[in-house]
Formats: sequence, C-alpha cells, structure tokens
Amino acid sequence: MTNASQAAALQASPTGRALPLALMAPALAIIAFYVIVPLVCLGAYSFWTMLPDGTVVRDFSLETWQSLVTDPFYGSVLLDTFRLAFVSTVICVVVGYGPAYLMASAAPRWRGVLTILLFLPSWISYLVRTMSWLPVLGKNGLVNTALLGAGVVEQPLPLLYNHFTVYLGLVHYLLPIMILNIYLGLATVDPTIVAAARTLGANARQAFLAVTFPLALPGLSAGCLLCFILSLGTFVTPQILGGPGTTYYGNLVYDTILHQLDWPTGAMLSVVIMVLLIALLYVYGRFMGLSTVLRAIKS
Amino acid sequence: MIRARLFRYALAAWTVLVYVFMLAPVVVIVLLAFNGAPGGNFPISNLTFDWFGKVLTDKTLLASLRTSFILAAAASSIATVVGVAAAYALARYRIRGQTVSELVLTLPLLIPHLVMGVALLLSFRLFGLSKNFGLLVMGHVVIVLPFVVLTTRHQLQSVPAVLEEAAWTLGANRLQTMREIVLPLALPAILTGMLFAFMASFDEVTATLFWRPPGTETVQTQIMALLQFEVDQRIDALGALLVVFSVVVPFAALLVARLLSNRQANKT
Repeated sequence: MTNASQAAALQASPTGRALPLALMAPALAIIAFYVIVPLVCLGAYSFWTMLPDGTVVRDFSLETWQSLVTDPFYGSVLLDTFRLAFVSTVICVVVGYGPAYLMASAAPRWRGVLTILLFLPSWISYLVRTMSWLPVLGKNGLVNTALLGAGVVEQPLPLLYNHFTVYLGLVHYLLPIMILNIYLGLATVDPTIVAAARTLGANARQAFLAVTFPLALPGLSAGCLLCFILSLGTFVTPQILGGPGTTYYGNLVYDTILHQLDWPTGAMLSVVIMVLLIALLYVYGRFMGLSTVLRAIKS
Repeated sequence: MIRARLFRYALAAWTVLVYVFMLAPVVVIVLLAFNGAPGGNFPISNLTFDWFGKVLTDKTLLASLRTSFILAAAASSIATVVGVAAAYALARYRIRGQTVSELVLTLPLLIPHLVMGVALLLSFRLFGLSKNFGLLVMGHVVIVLPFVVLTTRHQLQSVPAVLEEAAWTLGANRLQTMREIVLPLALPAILTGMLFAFMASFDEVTATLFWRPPGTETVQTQIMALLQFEVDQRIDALGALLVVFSVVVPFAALLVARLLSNRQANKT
C-alpha cells in the first residue's frame, strides 16, 4: 500500500480528524508561544524608545529605527558581518568541495571512515573547537613555539584576536557542515548518467561540469545557505577569537542588550537581521526550493 | 590515465590536509590537558593527570556540569514527547495545512540563536516574567524540537500502517497500538532524535547567555566566563572531558540503536 492510501485509510476512521491535530497541538503551541509571539514582541519593542534614565517608553516612535540610518557604526558592522559570512562561505566551498567529491567517489569502506571522521568535529562542542585555537595561535602557542624554535622569528607573532582569527575560527566551525551538504548533493547523482556522458565522448572534466556539478547543485547551495545563516548570527567565534576592533553583528546585539540594556535598539537590530534573512530565504526558495535545505538538516 | 591518477592523489592529499585542519586543534587541547609544565603551554613536559582531578573537584565546574546535564535531560525529554507526537501526525495523516505545520516545526532551525535569545528575553520582560530555570528549559526545548521531529518522522513513516490496522482489528485501542506496535518499531529513531536533542542542548551557548537566570552557569557559559581571564590547564582538561564525552556518547548510542534494530529484525 502506498503512503497516500495508508493515510486515506486512517483518515476514514472516526477519530481520524481530531487526533492528528491533538498530536501536533503541543509542539505547535510551544513554538507559537516561545518563537512566534517573541518575534512579534521583538517587532513591537523596536518601535519603542529608551530614555536616558533607562525607562522604556511604550509609544510608537521611529527614533530607534532612525539611529540605524544616522549612526554609521551599525551600517559598518552590518557590512563587516556580511563580508565575513560571504567570504567564509566561499572559502568553505573552495576548501570543502574536493574532500566531499572524494567521499562521494570513494569505495564504501573509505567512505565510512571519511564520514565518521567528518562527524567527529561536528559532534564536538562548538565552544571547545573554537577555544582550541587559543593554545595553537597564542603567544606561547604551538605555532609561535615552532617558529621561535626554528629561528624564523625572534619575537612571538601576535597571531590571535584579530579579523584573521575570526575568519579562521568560523571556517573551522562551518567546514564540516559544508562538506556534508556537498557530499549529500553528490551522492544523489546517478553514476550511470555520468557514465553515459563519458560514453558519448565527454572527458572527465566535461562530464563533471556538464553532468555531475549541476545535478549535485542542491547540496552545494543548501550548504552555502546554512553556512551563510550561521555566520550572520555568529557570536561565540568573534567573542573568543576576536579582539578590539573586531565587532560583528552578534557581539553588537549582545552588548546592546546585556551590557547597555538598550532593549529597543537591540530589538531593532534583531529585526534587521531577521528581515535580511527572510529576504535571503525567499530568494533562495524561488531558485532552489526550501525543501532542499530541510533535507540537508535531516541527515 | 596518468593525469586521472595524479588528480586522484592530489585530491586525497588535499582531503588529508582538510581533515587535519578540522581535527588538529582539538587534539592540541586534549594533549595540553596532560601538560604539567607551569604556564601551561608548549613544549609539553611533566605529563600529569592532575588537571582532570582539579576539574573534578572544582565545585563551580561540577555545579555547571550538573546544570548542563539537568537542562539537557529536561529539554530533550520534553522535546522528544512533544516532537514524536507531532512527527507521528505528520507521518501518518494528510491534514490541511501540512506544509505550514512542517515549516513551523522546523522554523527554529532557520532563526539564529542570537535572535531567538533576544526575542524570548524581551518577551519575558514584556509579560512581566523574571528569568527562571523553567523558561531556560523551554527555550532549549524550542531549539532542539526540530531535531526530534526531523529524525523520527521518516522512521515513523516506514512503520507500515497495515500493522496498526491489524492491531485495531484484533481489538487493541489506539493507545495500546501506539505502545505495542508503533513505539517499539520506531524506538531506535526516537532514541537517536533524543540524543541529537540532548547534545544540541548541552552545546548551546548563545541563547543560554540571554536566558539563564542570574547565577546559573552551564558548562558552556562557564567556559565563556573562564576565557575572559588567563586560565591554567583546567580549561584544557575540561575541554578534553567534553571532547571525550561528545565523541563517546554518540558512538555508544549508535551501537545501542543498531543492537535494538537487529533484535527487531530477528524477531520479525
């Protein structure tokens, strides 16, 4: 029996209509109360203002939103964050496509080994992986000890707490996710189609460019979308590996809310990132279909 | 032919480099945890287990570990009960608004934790609630719920509906059918989903920083706090313990899931 007829059979039973709704209700209610209502509150907060004494005036005002335009700092942080997201995603594609391709074309035994080794870093806590760069790049770290020992440098190099380490840490975090998604895309390509292209006279490179790559594109693009979203909201990486002058969006929002306690501005900044994300998801959905993203997460 | 060979070798070499990049820093943390040298950095000398002892007798760290476990256990249990019910409905029934429900159930995956953190915190305040542990747990439930739904849905779909119908025909009511037929068959997937949920909650940092009540520290927020200062190798030892934990637990769980499904395969 197909799933459709199974579903039809179950629906014919007397409780068939009320039951599924009752089963879904708790989950939907939790998400409604703890995600959707808060997002609406966020919108409301962004139209309120905070007085210098810290009280929030609950009257409609565009003052908070005006600061987005008048204060160039917000724009520059946003731009830095988009650059970070874009560049890290591109680096992950360039670095990760090869290993994903090897995984997809390897013999089953090797594929198993490569998959497990890929899951290892993604199981390990994001925070632990991020802080693991500190003893590698620190003043007395692995790299500096090696360089000093080899006599390449005389003073330890200041490698940590700059834009470079933020990029490095983020790529380190995102790479397994990107490789996995590219691999899932490549795994759906039917090898007989590639073989057919080869028989018809295409060389290996032509077959890859004309057949494999376009067929595997949904995996690659899902990986790009996930990495881009994750890097837009990144907070932990710049907090640990960044230094003075490396403010990214997540740190800006965190400081605004938890240190300056300026909730209307923090709400406004969160709304901005949500609107940009929804626009991104909309464009992505138009071209690739959102279901490809969900498929990637499932694995 | 030779070029194809060379390409293959180059690709393999590149892959090795990429994997080393992904894993090496973690190995460094684990090695440093055994470093007895003062200053706590390279070169490693005086191998010792002392740092692990110091972690396991440090009251603050132990308290944060306990908080993390309680939080993750509570959040993943609630998410599993609620999520499996929803996944069953999605897998078994054609309902109006199915696509919308699916989208809503996976929505938390597409929202940055940062935004979820801010939004929920501000709405607590708006409704006059003060931060408490229960709200922190519910926040984590929302974050891990999609993992449960997505991992169990597929497996529930593959339990043949005929088996359920047979049970009904034989006089079992819906609850009995659920308990005797559906849940045992889907158990490996449910446990996997719960494990994913547990690990996701255990590793969460960003939103937790917004939601935790004053004075409550999870392991992750505790590490964030420790990193503000110069710390000794206790942090490496703690990191090493977490690495071992997050590697061993999923492997053990996979093994249990495989054993369970083998036993079922033998039964049928």
